Amino acid sequence: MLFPTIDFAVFFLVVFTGSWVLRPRPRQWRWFILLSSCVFYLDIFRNKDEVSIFSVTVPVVTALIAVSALVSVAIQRAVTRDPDADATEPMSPVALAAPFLVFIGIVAVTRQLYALYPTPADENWRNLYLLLGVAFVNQTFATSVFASLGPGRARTPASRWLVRLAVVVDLSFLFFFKYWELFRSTFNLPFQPLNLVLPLAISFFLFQAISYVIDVGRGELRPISQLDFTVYLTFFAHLVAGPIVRVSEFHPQLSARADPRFVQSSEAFMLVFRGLVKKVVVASYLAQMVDPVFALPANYSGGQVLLATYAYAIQIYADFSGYTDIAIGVALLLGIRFPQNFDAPYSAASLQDFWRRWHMTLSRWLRDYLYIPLGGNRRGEVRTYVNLFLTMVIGGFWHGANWTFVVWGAIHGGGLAVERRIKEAWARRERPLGVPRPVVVAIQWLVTFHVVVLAWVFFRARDFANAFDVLGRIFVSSGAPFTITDVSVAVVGIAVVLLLLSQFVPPDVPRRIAVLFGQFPPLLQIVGVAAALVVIDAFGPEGVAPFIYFRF
Amino acid sequence: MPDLPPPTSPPDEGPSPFDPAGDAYGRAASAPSEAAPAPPPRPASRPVVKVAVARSAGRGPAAPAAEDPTPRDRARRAGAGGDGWAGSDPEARSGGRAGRRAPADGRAGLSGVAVDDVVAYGEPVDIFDGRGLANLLYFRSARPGMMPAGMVLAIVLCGMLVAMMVNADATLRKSNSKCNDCWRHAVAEAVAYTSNLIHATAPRQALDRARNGGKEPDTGTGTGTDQGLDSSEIARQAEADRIAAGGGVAAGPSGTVAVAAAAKPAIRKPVATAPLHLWVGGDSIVGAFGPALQKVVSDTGLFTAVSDARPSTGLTRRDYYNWPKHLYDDVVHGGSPPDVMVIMFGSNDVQGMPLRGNQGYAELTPEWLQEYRQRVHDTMKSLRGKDDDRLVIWMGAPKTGNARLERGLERLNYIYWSEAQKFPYIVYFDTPAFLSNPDGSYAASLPNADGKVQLLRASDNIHLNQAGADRVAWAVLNKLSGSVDLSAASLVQPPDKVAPPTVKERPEVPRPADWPDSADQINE
Repeated sequence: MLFPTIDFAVFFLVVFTGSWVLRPRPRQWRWFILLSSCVFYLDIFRNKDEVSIFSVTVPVVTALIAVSALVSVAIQRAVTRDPDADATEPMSPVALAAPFLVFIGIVAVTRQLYALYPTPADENWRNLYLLLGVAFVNQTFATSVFASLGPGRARTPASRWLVRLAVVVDLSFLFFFKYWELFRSTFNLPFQPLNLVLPLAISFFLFQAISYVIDVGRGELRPISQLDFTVYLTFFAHLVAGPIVRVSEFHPQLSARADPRFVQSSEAFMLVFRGLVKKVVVASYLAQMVDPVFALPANYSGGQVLLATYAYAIQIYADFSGYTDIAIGVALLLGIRFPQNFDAPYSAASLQDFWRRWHMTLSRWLRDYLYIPLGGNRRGEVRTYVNLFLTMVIGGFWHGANWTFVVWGAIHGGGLAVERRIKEAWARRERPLGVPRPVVVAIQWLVTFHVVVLAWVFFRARDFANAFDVLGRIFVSSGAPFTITDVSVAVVGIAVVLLLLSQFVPPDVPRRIAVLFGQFPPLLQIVGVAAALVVIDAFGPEGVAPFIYFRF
Repeated sequence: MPDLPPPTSPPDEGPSPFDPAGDAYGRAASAPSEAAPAPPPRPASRPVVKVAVARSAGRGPAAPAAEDPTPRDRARRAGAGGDGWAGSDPEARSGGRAGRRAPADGRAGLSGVAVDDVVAYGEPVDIFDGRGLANLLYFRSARPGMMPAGMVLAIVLCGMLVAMMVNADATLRKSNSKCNDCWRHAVAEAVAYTSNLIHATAPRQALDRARNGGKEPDTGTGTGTDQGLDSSEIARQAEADRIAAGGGVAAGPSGTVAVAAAAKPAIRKPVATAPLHLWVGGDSIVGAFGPALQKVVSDTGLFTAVSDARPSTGLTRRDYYNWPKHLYDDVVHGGSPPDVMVIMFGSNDVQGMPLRGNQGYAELTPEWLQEYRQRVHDTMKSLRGKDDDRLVIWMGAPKTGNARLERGLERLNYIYWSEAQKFPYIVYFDTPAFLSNPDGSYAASLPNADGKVQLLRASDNIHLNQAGADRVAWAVLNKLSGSVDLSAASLVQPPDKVAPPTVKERPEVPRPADWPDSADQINE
């Protein structure tokens, strides 16, 4: 299910009501949220086609569940110790086997539903099995890791190896579904393509699972219950496109019962509607110029291609930040606060600053689970640059199974390293150059923005030839350009400039407007909500959901 | 009144699976008598937790004190401006604010524990805060930016309902599944009907008009019913226009004769200095295939090419996008009329067909097939070149990994093929042959001429990826070279991009076994 749909609006009204009614009953509330997330993931109201739910995914996930359960049993038999307590307490094997039995139950129920429900099951069913399987596997790893920690939660060789094993298992899921085809075709491996459909949200939930096990392994976190972890991993607001929330941020909010009399509605409304405008109106409109230009840059003039590359930078920001704005707003309406994910990224005057503002939860993840384990900046100057570069390249690769994403990461990683070098040299300079500070900042901003735009070209292009076609066309344009029919170039230009200017509006302004809106009588707020929905729908493209995707 | 639990945490049992141990208020829910939930069993947090529990002892329902008679009253008082709920402090509740890394587990849960303590779980909560809907007019929140959940629900629900009424026409326009998915469309129709009764759609119509510079929206003028220009009218007009322009030597007065008299198109030999103009268009499958064909033909130096993909379109839903009209007005009579047209429909067409006056045909019924054939026929007719100087390659829809859709596409391809036989300037291209296993079944990946197996489809098993688009594009160029003299360029087939030479088009598309005879009739 996607946020900007009528389906989701209806779904959310039901979940919102149910959530606040059930909030005083923590266990029922958790099951309710878990069930809602499963419905969200399955998207059962969509008309879909029958696909066998038993494919290669199912045996693989089942095998991993069985193996990790066995590993967990073995470990906890061997080291049945709670590092927080002085005494040792044996774990009951029945308790360990229980989730596995529950899982078999889920599969059985799924089969029954498959037979009963008039809409046939589709690949989302087995993807849900994968999602729940990942939740189980990581939970068993987390409890095993915790049990193998030394007194005072000190790391032990066993805990280190278990954490490594968990990360390898998680990454192998990711590799299998996301990267296998790329490696097979790139290195011409003698295997048939598997034709796997990438499970929805797989990289997001695997990253969150990895962070959980690592945090436990670092002794920063005590394992939470299986139910809590599953609720956390599947929670629909952050399931599909982030933000990447941590257990340490999420779990306390599960335990804390939010006050039903003080829902932070004004901020949530502001986030949801801002997100809808960005996602439905701005991003969709810009796409109508970006798509044809990137499809065949040779058909357009240099100026048009340049505008399209700027437009893409804005489009991806509007699209992604719009979606996470909606996610944060939706969660806030349920009384759960997510970390901020975007903070006016195009106002950044350095790449480092950009990464503090763009997809903040991912850069935080990369910092804590990739950059720091690589050694961060503590292993000498050269190693720092290498670590920066590697982190960004791997982060780029995470975005998709295509070498163009690696180049995108390399541009950012290289840029960060170069920038660090220049800054150090700049700080050591003997005397100031006499250039006024605003001018320096403006130049820094301009350079940063264009490095980011250059990287986006590789991010968007379908292959290297396409990227170089686009870049080449900006500088060498020959032949008569085609006219762009569907959108007005002037409107695209204005949209790009307006969105860039919006980056410099202090964050306090929308907050104040939201609070002001919250002071209106409810009836006026109803009118405001309705008017916003009508305007967004009217200015969104007609038929925003392609038929083909809508039907399957 | 239940007894208070001991102000210490229960013995740590470790995290047992599927049991919210750690915060242990599963226990509180199952046994409401235990008013205070147990804290997370983390030594560092225990002292603080004790304080919280102690506070609960003083104020909770378990120990009614003089200043706090009942929880209900307490809630009222708090709602009127008091600050009874520790957790309602925005700072305390924001578990993880932006960028700040929340402290790990036990410590981060402190505010939670405090909130849990104040009201026992199991106590009924009035999410309307005891106010009800009557306060919609004069409710003012005690705290800026915050409202009771019930009020939020009322605002969101009412706002959505109003927006639903105002947007009703547009929603119906977008609701694209008339008969496949009847309940959805039926709801949209009912809403639009009600909304139009009370003229609730007026603001939206005014907005749409303002957006379109005073005009009604071009596409989708019908609200789920067909009001577009008929393809037959376009075909008749096309024939009249062509004759008026002095084209077609042997054109007779009736359409039948004109078609029969159409000659095999004479396409001039393109050279680099005078390239032919190629137009490729259709539904979203052309999104990948169109640019690929553009590149392949442009690289010969003998063509200029444009691609015109319109996602989600076809010939069934004229109310959504009127292809016959677009082809005739904007392509054939556009700024640069094409010498060669490559056209592909079908993947969106297996759905109910709305007709004028709220009528419609369910997909793949005999009437549906007959009407679809009529539209194909009329469209093909309207594409005839003025002096029979245009070649149209009509592409069959590729196979999909989807049984229901496949049943329809077999029938559509039969219609395309059999209609193409009636027009000398239309050449049917058997797309499925290049994207299927040798036995004709669906294949997502196939070996190319270099023997290497390539994935040809996008992840939805319907659209083509770049490799699939290249493979079909090269096949179309080969097909073109059968009708157009391309000897001015050397067509070197890259073996890693083209299908092996063993892959051949079928000589004819078989008539489906249960084909109704009535679906072969055409009105000229």
